[in-house]
Amino acid sequence: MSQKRSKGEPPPKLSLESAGDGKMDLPVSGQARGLDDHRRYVVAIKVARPGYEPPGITVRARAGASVLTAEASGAALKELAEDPLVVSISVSRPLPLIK
Amino acid sequence: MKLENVPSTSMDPRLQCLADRSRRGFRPAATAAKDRGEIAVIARVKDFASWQAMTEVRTHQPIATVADGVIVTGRIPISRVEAVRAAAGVLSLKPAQPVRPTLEATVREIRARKQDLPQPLAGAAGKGVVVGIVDFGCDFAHRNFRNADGSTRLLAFWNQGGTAEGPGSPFGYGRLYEKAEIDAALGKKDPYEAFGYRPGPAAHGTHVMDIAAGNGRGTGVPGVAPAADLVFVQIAADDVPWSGPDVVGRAFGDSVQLLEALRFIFDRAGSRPCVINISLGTNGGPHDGTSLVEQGIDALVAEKPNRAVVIAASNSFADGIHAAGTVAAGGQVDVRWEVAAADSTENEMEIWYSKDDEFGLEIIDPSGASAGSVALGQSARARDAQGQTQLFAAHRKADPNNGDNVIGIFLAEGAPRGVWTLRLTGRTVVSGAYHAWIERDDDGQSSFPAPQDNSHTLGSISCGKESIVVGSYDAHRSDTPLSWFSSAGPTRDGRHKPEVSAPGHDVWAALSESGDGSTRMSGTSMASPATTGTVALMLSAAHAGGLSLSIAQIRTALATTARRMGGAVAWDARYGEGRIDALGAVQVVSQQVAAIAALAGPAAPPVLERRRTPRAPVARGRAAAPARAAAKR
Repeated sequence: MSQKRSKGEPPPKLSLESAGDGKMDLPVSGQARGLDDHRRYVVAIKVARPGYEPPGITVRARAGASVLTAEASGAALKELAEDPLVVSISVSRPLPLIK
Repeated sequence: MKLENVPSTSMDPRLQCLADRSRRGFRPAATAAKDRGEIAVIARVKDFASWQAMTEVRTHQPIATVADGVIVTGRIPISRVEAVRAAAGVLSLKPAQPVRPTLEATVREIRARKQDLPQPLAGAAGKGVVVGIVDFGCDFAHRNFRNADGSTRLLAFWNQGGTAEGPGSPFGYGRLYEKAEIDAALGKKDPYEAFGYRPGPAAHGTHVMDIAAGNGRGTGVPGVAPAADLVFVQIAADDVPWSGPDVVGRAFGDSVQLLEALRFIFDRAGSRPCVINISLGTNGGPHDGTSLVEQGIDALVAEKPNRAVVIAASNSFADGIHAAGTVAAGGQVDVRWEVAAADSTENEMEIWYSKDDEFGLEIIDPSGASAGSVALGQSARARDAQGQTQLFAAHRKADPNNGDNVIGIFLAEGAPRGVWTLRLTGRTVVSGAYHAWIERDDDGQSSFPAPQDNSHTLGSISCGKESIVVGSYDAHRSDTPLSWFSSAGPTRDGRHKPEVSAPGHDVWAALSESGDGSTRMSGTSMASPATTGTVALMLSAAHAGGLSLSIAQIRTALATTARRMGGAVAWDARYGEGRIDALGAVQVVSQQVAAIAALAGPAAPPVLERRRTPRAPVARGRAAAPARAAAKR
């Protein structure tokens, strides 16, 4: 990430990018960094058909009939987003203690 | 030494001792509560008027009406102790006792002590129920989690961050310890070393588990459901791709591994009733229960009856992390975001608005210069001279889980500090309402400038439809004030959460690595396990009576028996339906058990069949709860 702006450095100016995939639920910090095709991700996935197990992922657990947890590469997740039976994909996000 | 005879009375032995010392010239020192030579007493008298009429008694206070009179307090000269005790109308007189730093205040205030609960249910005390704790730091060696023979009360302990040994790790990771392994470690000189795990001093999870279900063997005062069996999961974060040193805040667990922790505990409970406590959360998210982790929690709870998940509301009430408003068609609203000059961390904000609306977004930096605009459906990035991201904005159309639109703003460490402005313009407006949350950052929390809207400050996973969310109040004060930190509802879609509140202020409970000590902690993390224990009492009573409870019945019983504050007639954004009442909630269950027994008649079917018998619904509406009238007294 960048260093603090030095004196005289111009203010930030936005340049537009293509929007992320509609099914992918990432925190904005994750969107800023993007998915790495070769990296392994842990995700929660919601499927449209109860019991459906999408290809290309390793299912770890099920929470009810339509939500499952899984591992997949970034490339596999991008393909998963094209699966019509996949409703949404949420890459795991940090959960600190409430204290 | 030679024993000396003193006059024998039926007086409390400690009062006898004080009276004897008074005869010998002893005068107790003055304190904040009394003058020199006085003692504070608690008495049971036939009527308060006669107590007031006694000239020896100072600062008379009625406390509660009981079957044969009134419980009162007062201060009396020590030389008059015997006379007051002998007065007509004084049924009992005892000296005030120093308050030990224990869980007493919690269990007394929520009416969960053994003597508060109806027999024979009091004996159940959570028996037959699995209490699951997902947290950090489990002191398996503390005496409050051990049986009389020294063995553990834990059925299992899964340390998600531990190194897997063999094929037994749930979902292929972490270290699972079974009861036999824990017992073996407890037999060693240093059980932590034998176990290969230390909870850490003053571990949060130890404290939380004690409130819910400690048995008091170490600290002297049991938690709410002391006979429950225990399963603990020490949650850990997977290699979350943005959890490096530059992640916002510090990650301790993660959303996927939380779902797996719940799956593990419910599976381990099997057919037994099970309630799980969670004290995790951040600030972001849709706050309408549609995040996948919340949908997953709801689905797990709904799989079977006799299950519940209880979650802390969060401690963000005073953090200035929420803003809300309405954008008119063609109008503009500026959402200002203050990042302190000394804040060297990343910062994130989310703005959620209706799927029926379309807003324009312009981002203005602290110098007042426009960084540019991001239309609905676009993302944009600003880089510094070195090409590194300073600012990222995503204006996303139709979130896949709820269809609403969401703006996410990410400020990198090097982004300018000061007050940023997010200018929202109403392009297409049906509702116009928006809510914004700044993500939690324990190393440098940015905030909305004053005046702040502290409503809707529930945690990121505390807005589900089936979970029970708990706010915090102070049980040490008679007016049970809200804890200053306790987050407020409702959810973004207007549902009433938190459902209830419980003691979470200055709670004394088990201190890890002390053997039998206790320590003080405050937070909704402490309120949540009091409610978890209460649900365990309900499930235990139902189980003993052959009754199954759906999550709807559990939620309704808790809500309808909760004690509202100050004559409130409606749900409160921070107290919820009110202060939990363990006695009232258990009574609702016992009435259901009795109703089923009455319906079944003399030829009652076996208990297992009765569990399948259709039940009359738990009475809805506050006035319908029989325990409520008693609770108000």
